[in-house]
Amino acid sequence: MEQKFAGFWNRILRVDLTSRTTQVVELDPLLYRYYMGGRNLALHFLLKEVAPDTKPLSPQNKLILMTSVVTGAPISGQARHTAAAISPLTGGLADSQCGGWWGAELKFATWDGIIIEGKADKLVYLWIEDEHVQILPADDLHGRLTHEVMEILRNRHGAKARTLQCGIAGENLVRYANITADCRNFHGRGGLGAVMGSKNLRAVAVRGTHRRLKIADPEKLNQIATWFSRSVKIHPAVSLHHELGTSKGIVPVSVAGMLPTYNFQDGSFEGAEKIGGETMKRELNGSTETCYACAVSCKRSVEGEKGAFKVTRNYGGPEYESIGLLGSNLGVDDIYAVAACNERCNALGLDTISTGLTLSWAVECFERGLISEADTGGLRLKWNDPHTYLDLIDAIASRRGFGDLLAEGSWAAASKIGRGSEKYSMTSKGQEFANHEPRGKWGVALGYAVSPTGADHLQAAHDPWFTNPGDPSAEFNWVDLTDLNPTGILEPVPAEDLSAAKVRLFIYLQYIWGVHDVLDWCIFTAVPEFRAISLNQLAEVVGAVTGWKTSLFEVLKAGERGVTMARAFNVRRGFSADDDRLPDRMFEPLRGGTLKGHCIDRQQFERGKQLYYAMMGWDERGVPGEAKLEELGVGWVWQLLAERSAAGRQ
Amino acid sequence: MWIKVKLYGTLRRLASPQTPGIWQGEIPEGWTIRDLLAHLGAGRYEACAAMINGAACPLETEIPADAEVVVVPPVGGGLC
Repeated sequence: MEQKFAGFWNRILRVDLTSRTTQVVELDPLLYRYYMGGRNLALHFLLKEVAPDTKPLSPQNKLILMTSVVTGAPISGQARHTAAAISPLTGGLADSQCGGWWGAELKFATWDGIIIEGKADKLVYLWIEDEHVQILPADDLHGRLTHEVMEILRNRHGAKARTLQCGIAGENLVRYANITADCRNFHGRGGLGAVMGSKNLRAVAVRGTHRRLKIADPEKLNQIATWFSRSVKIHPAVSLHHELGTSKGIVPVSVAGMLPTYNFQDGSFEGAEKIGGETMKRELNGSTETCYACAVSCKRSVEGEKGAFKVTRNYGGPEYESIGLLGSNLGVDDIYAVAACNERCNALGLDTISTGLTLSWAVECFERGLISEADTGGLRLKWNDPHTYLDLIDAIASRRGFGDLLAEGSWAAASKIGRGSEKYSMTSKGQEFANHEPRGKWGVALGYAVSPTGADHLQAAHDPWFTNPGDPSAEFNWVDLTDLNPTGILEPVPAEDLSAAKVRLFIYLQYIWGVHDVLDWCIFTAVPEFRAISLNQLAEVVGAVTGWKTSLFEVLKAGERGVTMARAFNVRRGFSADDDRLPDRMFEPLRGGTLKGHCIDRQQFERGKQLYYAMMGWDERGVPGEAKLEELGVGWVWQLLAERSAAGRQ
Repeated sequence: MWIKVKLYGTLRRLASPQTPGIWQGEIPEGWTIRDLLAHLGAGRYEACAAMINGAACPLETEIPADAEVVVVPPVGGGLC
């Protein structure tokens, strides 16, 4: 098949599992330029095709899998893809980007994305081999661990098949079930695995042979890729990322006082060094793995055994988020135990972040006497008890006993239990916080609150990096804001601050992060404090691949478009400014650690939120305005909001 | 006087090659953590937080003899 357009096929696969039929969707090619891919293309279909009152686990919800115009191009950073749907955890948007090889493989099979709708009458999987698509029975995959499923599918369809699947947790509709790509990369958040499970769809396996995608200016792309490869090798931050992966952040964040510890009671963990990246490298046999065509190669894959804790390389290894939330957050100071809990979550298809914080909610509530053995089925919960946590992870995935309550997530579980336990659920919009203490970085607090997907650390870069002006003449930026200078951000802002300057900084960073979600581009390459390529070069990559005469301005606008479309999606679902809130604990002093006594100023937070809405062109309830939507070129979204508003009045 | 310094993030590049992440050596009495970092060649804004013998302290703190110093760069999370 000939690829007509550089950067995309203009072929999106629609699969109706109810009727077991497939269809090819073509778009006006101009929409690819407006949206560029990923989150934006997914939102286009979700907004146009999913009724606002759709139940997340009903056949009417749609699971959208999407790539971008740069996915599959021969340059580091492009190897991600998007999954989106209505979230069964928050009731709003679930939108998640996942690395690995699956996205590029889908593109090599001549597809830009997949719209999955309806519900199969029995468990099935999709097998996509170039243009050919089959819906096949999955009886033999039911109830199996994710690695077993991957092996079965590769034995059946060839070792080069790439797999995307929900786990047992997804089959059992756990509200924070994840989707995994080849058991190493994850659409972790928002319960997208449960959406997949609700459709009786266990996996999507794909193999493509069109491996040389059409690139408009291969010479230019090669020039940037060559510069990039050199940069990756000599940039100190990136080379360290290659050596230790994200696990390197545990000790520094603890020293700085922002490592979630004991369910966000403390910000430093006495056992941080025992679970940090240096210890993991020393104690567990490991190596680095990579995503498709990436020179950074930052995935630490580990194995080892100590007592009951056995860790294999079947699921890669624990990243920063998982180490913190299954480690310090639960008081666990043994890297083997942390890695074993991480592996168990991945084998069953559970988001390690929500799992860790749902467990820590239960432990703190037990310690405070808010829940008892009558609730837990006889279990006595305590900190630093990984054997019990492993049992509970199994119980959650199979919805057995106390695990059935925990499978709802900490907010829903607290709402059901009551007794004041809601206070200890560290969530926003019902989704658990990530491994970042917002009381030391208030931009993250704003991000947790206003994120369309519930608490999410990937709304924007984090505040501490932008507290100094940096040296614009340096070959590489260390950790400063010189890379933001081309956007007009010229002056540093304190980390614990939500002034107008901070809100402006947050918004620009949110656009930049939004661009990454739109282009399915990895944040470990181009984000300001870490960049191996600059933001301007990222725009040049888009131009070289597609042939568009584009600019940083146009690319950032695509990022902004996604942020506001996501907001509109949630407004249609009934969300308002009241949902952009944080737990009371964030306004109370940290109990311990380097930042002991620090807390967020509630007045500043509320004022910052209103400033954010106003700067975004939204009203005081956080509803995007008609003029802003028109300015973003998506005026049709305003019509949807107006219809919703009219329906509400009736 | 003799001290031991644990360096994290990009600061690791300042460590002794034989001891990854660790610098050990003699410094004059009266040096602060900032003096030490300048001596090791750290960028002006490269350090963010520090501890001496397990207790958090400002970078302007004077280093006592036989201290174990920990220094970290501005942190975000897995990126730092």
